[in-house]
Amino acid sequence: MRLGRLLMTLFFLAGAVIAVVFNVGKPTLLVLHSYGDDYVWTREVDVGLRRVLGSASGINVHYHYMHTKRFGDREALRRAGIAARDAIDRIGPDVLLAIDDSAQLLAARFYVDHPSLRIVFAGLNGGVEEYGYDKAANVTGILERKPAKALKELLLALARDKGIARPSTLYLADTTHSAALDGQHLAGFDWGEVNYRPARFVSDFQAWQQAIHELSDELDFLLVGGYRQLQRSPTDPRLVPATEVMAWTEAHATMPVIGMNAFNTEDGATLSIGVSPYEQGEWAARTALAILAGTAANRIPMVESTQYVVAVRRSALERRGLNLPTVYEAFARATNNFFP
Amino acid sequence: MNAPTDGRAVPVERLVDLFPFSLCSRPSLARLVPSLTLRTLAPNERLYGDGDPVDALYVVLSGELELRRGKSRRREIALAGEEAGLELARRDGAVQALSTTRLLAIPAEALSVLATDNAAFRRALLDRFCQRESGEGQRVHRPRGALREGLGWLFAVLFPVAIYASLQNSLGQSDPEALLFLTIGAAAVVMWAFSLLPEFVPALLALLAVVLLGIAPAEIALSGFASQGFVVALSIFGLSVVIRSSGLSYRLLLWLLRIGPASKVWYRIALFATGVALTPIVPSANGRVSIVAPLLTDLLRTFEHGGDRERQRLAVTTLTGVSLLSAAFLSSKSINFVVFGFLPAQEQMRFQWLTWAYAASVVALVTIALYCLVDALLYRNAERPQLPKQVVAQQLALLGPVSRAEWAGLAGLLALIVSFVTTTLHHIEVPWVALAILSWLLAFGFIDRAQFRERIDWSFLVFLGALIGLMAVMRQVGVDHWMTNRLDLLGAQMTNNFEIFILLLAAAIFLVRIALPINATIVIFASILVPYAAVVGVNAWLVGFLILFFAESFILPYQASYYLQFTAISDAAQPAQDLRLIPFHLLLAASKPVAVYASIPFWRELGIL
Repeated sequence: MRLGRLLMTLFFLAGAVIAVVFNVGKPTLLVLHSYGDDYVWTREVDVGLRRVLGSASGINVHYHYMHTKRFGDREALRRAGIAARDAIDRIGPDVLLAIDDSAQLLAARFYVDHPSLRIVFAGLNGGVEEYGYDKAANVTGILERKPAKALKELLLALARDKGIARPSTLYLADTTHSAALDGQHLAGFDWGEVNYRPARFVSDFQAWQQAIHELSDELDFLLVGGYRQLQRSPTDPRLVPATEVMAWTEAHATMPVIGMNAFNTEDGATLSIGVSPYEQGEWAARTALAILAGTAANRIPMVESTQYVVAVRRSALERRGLNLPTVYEAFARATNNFFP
Repeated sequence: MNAPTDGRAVPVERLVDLFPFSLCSRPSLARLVPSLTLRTLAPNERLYGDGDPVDALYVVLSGELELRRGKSRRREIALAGEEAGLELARRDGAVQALSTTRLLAIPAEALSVLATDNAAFRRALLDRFCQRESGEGQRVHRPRGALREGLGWLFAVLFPVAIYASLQNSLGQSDPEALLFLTIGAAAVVMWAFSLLPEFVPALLALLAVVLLGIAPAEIALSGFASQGFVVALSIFGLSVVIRSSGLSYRLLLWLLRIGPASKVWYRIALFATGVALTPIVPSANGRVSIVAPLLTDLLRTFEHGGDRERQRLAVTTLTGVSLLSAAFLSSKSINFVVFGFLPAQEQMRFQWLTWAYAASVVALVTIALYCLVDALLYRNAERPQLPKQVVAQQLALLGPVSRAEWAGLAGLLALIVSFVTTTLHHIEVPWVALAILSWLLAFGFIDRAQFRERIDWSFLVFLGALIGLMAVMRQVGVDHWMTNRLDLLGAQMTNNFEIFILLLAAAIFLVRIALPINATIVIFASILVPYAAVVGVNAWLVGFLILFFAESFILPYQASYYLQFTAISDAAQPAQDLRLIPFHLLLAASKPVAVYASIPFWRELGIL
């Protein structure tokens, strides 16, 4: 009886030791998203991450969503930042994958040069200097740069078809931090034969509608990106659903509406050329695994996005009489971004 | 004198229609027959005296009895001696015949089996006993119950139909699954509100309807049974079985009484601290009452001097100790696990046991401070009762050294706490640590097969799993977002003016609690407001915590089952005769919003608000 008890005690002790040793030695990744998992960009970045992490075994992966797209006011950002830092401290990851700008601004930058935590950023629209990443020993990542060159090629192709020699365009967006950074990036690009005018930022749907009416006679093409933080009116703080903004815009804008994310077309825009969320996720996950395998973060160079995706809404193209080179439609169909 | 039946027919048909025997199943009544005996009393003959050992319950077949308790006298023509069904050792009051009286005697052992097989009978017997203790006359249960039940079932049919009809043209067109879910939910809410069925049954019926109508696949509907909340609840229930059955809590109280001075302040501190210490480890207020109330009774019986005022104060202290902080710990009440299960997965990760307690700590401390104020205001007295120290020492000596079961309870508790604190190091999530502790307790026999089957509240675990599954279905069909668009006013208060929202919530819960029991109130409020909070960007844990905190208040005895239980057990304290209880609980309820407001800066600091 006593021997049985002793053996049982040994069995449980051995089990406990194995469980603890196995878990203590298991590396931990924390994916910190700036937005929510109800946001299509975030979901698709996750698809890219899981493509790579799904085949890696023996790793704990945690996800934390900050929802700063849905709740972007100052107080909500403060709370989201505290909760994100709390998650980092509680989970104690070996590698933090911080996705999009808010995650850097509100959480990841506080762990620059942390002794045991490495940071891989992705979806970063702005520069790395403002977060101190340029001089950090524990940070690397992939910058999200709007595919200005591809956009320019598309605008020129559409303009040629319509007989416009020097097409004019402008970026219209809400007043979020990431939209402002996108605006800066586009303003710094050499647009050549395209007449790119300074970006315009509005804070509410009424101002958006007014801008569309004003610009309809002035522009050949309208570029849109961030519009999820538009409040209903200056006095009504409720956010207008993205699909409502795009449906109204597509119905009232006389010029074609071109999105800078694939999901803009899902919302209602005529067509879109956007950074590939899969590339962002895949690159970040591959880099995290390399770091876990022993490569120092600062030995892995920071890179810019190189891949993009195309989305097409055929009904809007037909209504506007636009003829796209067939390769765009084929690409959109192949990546499930074609809408009838 | 008792007379065996000698093969003569016993008039058992009296039992079939007599409340509360009418709540029992016929087979269980049939099994009583061999144990029954007849007894006849002459006028003024005593049936039993105050303090006599409990042997049987008596059903009056003819004649009339007089019940005497203290100075009160009451005539009785139905039952006497409910103590026998409540497993009490001694009679509380005396009974004698007023005229020639024929009685049917049901031995305590047989009655105990009947009560175990028929939970409703046991509850009704307890209720009847409590009314006798509080001096109330016998209520006419069946007509009132029948009316309520009839009304309830009528609403259970009409309310879902009304919901379906009113939303068919709007929601029915765009989202038929959401409409069906709301219709099913409406039926379940009515069943809970009217207590038509045991609380887990409507949840199971709703789950069944969700799957049969194709609203959500079975793996989502049943996901609650694989959730972290379910695993933690099961494990904590198991740990509390060991702590309760080992006598650890009794030792704790004796130890507190022994180390402190022989003063009434210290007695109050010891009783209150014992209740508070049990709060996070015994996940039921009734469970804590069943541990602490007998200790209080024992304590008061050993007082050398002392009157009713200090006895009543100690009774209130004891009851407050076991109930005041029920919302402050995840594991202090089963229903807390339901609210935990309603939280979004990310919030569940954040508000595990330790963080929950930390986030609630300021509210808890301010509530204790305000309770002390209210206590001093209403219960201050000059009495100086004393407990002889040697009694406590003898009791502790009799307990002997700490038993293996007590060590096991302590070790399990310690392991759980250490694992909470060191999660960052071992990377094992709390539910799995808790399950490991439960497995260990089972393997080493600290919980045996019978205890595992009988002392873990499986009906509640089914309720919990079903509710968490229903919440997952609610999110899946988008009812949470649909509700958000319809609760604009509430949303505006919750997001823009949380201070006003706190008051509105406290007032609403206070009013609803007049009619509904605690669990039904919490389930209804939490199922609407917790997912709603997540959608509008307010911390879902905070809203869930406030619902739990405000719903715990009660003013009248019927509002809290643990209070009824307390009055039944702690007879020496005579809590039922305490007229200050209503103002005491009113002031305590009023102090709760104050404690919440005091915690707002702390919550802002934590980023919860």
